[in-house]
Amino acid sequence: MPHSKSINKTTSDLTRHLISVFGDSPKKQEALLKGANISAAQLSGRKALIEPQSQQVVMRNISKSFGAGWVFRYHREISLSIEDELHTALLHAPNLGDALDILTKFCHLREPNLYIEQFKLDGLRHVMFDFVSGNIRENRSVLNFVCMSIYQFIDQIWQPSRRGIEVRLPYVKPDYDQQIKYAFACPISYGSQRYAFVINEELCALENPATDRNVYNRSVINLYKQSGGLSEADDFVQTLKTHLESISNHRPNADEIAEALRMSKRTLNRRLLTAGTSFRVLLDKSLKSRAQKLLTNTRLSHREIADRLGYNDQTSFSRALKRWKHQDE
Amino acid sequence: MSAARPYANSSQTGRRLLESMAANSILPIERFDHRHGLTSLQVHQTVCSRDGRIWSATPAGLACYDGVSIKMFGHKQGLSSHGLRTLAVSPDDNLWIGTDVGVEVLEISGPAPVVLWSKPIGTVNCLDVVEEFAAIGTSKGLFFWRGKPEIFPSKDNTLAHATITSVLISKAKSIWVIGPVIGLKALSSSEEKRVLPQRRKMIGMPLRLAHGPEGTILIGAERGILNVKENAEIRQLYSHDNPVNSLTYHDGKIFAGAGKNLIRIDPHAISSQNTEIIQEDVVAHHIMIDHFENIWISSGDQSLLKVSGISRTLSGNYDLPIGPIMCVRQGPKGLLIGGSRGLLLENRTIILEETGVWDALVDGYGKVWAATDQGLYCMVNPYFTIPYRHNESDVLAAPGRALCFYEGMLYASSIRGLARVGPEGPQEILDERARSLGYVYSLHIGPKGKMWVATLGRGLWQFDGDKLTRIFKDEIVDNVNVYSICHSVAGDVFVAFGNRISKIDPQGAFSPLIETDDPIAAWSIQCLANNQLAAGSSTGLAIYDAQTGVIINKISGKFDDVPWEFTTSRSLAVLNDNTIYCGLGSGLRTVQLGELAKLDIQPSATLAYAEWRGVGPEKNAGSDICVKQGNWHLEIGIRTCWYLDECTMRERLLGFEDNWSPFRPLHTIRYTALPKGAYTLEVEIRSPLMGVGPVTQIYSFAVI
Repeated sequence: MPHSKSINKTTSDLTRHLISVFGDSPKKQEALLKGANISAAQLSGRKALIEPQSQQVVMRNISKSFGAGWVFRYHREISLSIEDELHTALLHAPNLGDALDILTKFCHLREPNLYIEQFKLDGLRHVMFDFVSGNIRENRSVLNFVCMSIYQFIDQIWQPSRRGIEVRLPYVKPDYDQQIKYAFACPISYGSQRYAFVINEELCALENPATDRNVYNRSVINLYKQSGGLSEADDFVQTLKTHLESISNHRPNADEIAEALRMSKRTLNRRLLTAGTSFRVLLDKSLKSRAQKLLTNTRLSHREIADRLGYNDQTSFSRALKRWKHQDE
Repeated sequence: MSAARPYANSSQTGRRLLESMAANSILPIERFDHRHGLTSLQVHQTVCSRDGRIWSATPAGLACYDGVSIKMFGHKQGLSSHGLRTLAVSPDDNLWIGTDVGVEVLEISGPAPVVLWSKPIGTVNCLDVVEEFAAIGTSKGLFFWRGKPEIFPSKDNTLAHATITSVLISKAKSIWVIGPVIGLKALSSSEEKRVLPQRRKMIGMPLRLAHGPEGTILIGAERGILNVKENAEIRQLYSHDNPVNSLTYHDGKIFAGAGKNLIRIDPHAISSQNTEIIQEDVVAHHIMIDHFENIWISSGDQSLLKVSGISRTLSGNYDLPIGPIMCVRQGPKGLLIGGSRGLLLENRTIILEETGVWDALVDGYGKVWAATDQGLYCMVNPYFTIPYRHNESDVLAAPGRALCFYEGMLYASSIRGLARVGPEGPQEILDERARSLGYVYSLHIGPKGKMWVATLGRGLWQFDGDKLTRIFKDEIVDNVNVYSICHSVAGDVFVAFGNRISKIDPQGAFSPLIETDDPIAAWSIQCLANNQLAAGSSTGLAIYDAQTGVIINKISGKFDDVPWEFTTSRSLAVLNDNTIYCGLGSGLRTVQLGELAKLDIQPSATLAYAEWRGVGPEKNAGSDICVKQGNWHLEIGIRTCWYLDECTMRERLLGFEDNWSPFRPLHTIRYTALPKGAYTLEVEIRSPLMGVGPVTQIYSFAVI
């Protein structure tokens, strides 16, 4: 099977960042760059790209000098903030669950070699990640770094509730486990098949206090565009979907949405028709999604959920639930 | 007698026609000539009578196609001339013919036409008949018929002696005529002349008239087609470089013979794109569209051509560069199509090139999963498609067959079993004795949220997330090959295994539904709306009544230039309850169910002839035919006007046998020296597309 390998800016940024942190003298820098095919222009030019293989060599050289647990020991120093569309979307996601979904869908925009899988089982969300090429041993430093970065992001926003997280690392307990314990202030287990976070669904459903729906919606649309997955019509439908999902306390009507999107109801309907859908269909999907989230992640009664979703009574909501179940079947 | 076979002996013309149409559609073309009994290559005009027979005016006489063969009628049958020029069917189903010598009206309810009356008014070029009124254009002027067997010349002096080449009675009963000298003229029903703007600068000399949309008139001329209202106000102009000699309007489209091209005009398309050439190198004298939406082209040099009406039902001849189609799946933004040479994504990007893809799915995070000949693959992101955990599971590494998501996890089947991909890695699903399921061919999430597993060689299984349960139902034994499973909204599960399709109702009761002559009843089955079941097999697409198992439609290879051979259990997909996507060895085809439903005329049989030899039949008191016992021979010919499709027939002679014969191609039936008794011959016609028609009593006789 043909595999394409790509170099992206974030790989290069990380490599440069690591060299700047650990190569604070010419001698140290020379030691870090030993065996790596990195020119002076690549080192200094912010837009110059560095191959992933060179990054690997640099990380191995760091391990030789600073020990295998360097990622965890220096995690505060090497934390790298890349402000891009993915970062914006993650910061402003309505909740952790949505942020993880976004990360799963679009992590390749930051690091093409990375892929994330999610499994939702028994009220737990397993977020597993790995690199597409190379083996875990070769990539351990980078994956440790990715693991740290994801954890730091979760910690940054959902710190009070981090007890709902467990980190799983795919190697035996190393001699630097104290550093790992210090870096992740949550339960850690070793020997898993892949790097994984196991997160309680209740934590996933907790609202992000820093959420900004508009910024989030815009970023998600841009992410879809960047991954080449949205046409103009899809773009509009996606805008509308995210807008509908951002409404959490009532049942919006077409007039309200049209006004929010600064267009007439007729234009709204026409554009949806062009995209092959309708307001009713999208609203129903949005209500279904909201209902599923409320049913899965909260202990609200059916009556309360019906109220939140804007159903007149519990019977209408029960009918809708039956219909959705039937659709799923 | 033999049924007409499209392509069986198709000429170069037919092939060219087919090739030229292949780019846009799959219009099967049939050419009728001397092989079918048509003795003239020149056909002036063709009409369809109420019973579905096709009548053509040729210089060699009147041709009648009854769905089986063409019979020619001329002097011997009482016609005054062989030289027919024009035809029309009156509202009372009489056939009007215009000949070199005049007009004749024929009664055509019987096997052969009978002349009712005729009038020698000279060479008739054109005629149009409505209720109790006919307009006849001759080389010596315009004539009218007003409900009596008398014909009057037009009172208008300019029309009384002019050559008329086209005539049309509009919906408002005004008469429109065209002649080389008079140009375009119109008269009210009371023959009051109306002044029409000639528009010659715009379209040149007018040549042909036809009914247009919403009671308007279409005028074919030297430089295009003009669509005018009854008051001659121009509605639309379609310019064309070639003279328009024939035209007709059907279902929102104008079909016209322009020069040596057959063109189709879409009045609703923008003007630069509204004309499409659908056939080159054919001089179309006349175009007619029959009850079955077949297009009949009377040509000047290539006899009679039929473009099958099935073209409206079948569409989308997708030339996909991925070889035979193995799976058709709906993704979030369109179709995912797997073929023997790759997987085509919704945005038409091909991944997994040169690999057979048996199934493909998109998960909630946009990852594309593919069951391939080289195991399970995952398109992690647009940059990487990777073999998925082959090093961890033999099942995932083996040639993959089917995929499905069940309870939030991916289940992948291969020729080595079934595996679940979860957070702990791939885990093989084993039976109660911890044995592999072997070759798992198909997976289906059925009613009540259970997964059904179809295996080749180990029968049918049900999986509830924890354990596998074998389904033993009648013939579904443990070593049977199960190919496909689907379920209806009502909760009935349909299972295709061996040469059968059976139903398991929500209570678990099993009932055999369909048994086919083919060794495999269906590679793939899907439930449709209206309680129907679509089944794709090696011989085409069949649509069954899901309650009775009676075949409703069948589309076989004869509608295409290649066989309709379905490939896998994923090769049949139904979208929006109306479009069936058919993954075939020859590519992807679509069937519009809505259009198929319009073709609801049942194929039926009538008596063509009954020929007695060795005895003279008599009529007894009950006016039945009766013969004396002896050494006689009876030959009965069957006719069907069902020319849409390749029909077969079966028969039984009540009084002699109760069982039906097997379905065979249309044939003559012979009896000899039957014992004493009363006999009635019953015949059923089966059209592959429309199923079995009604039982028809063809002929009764008694042996005394």
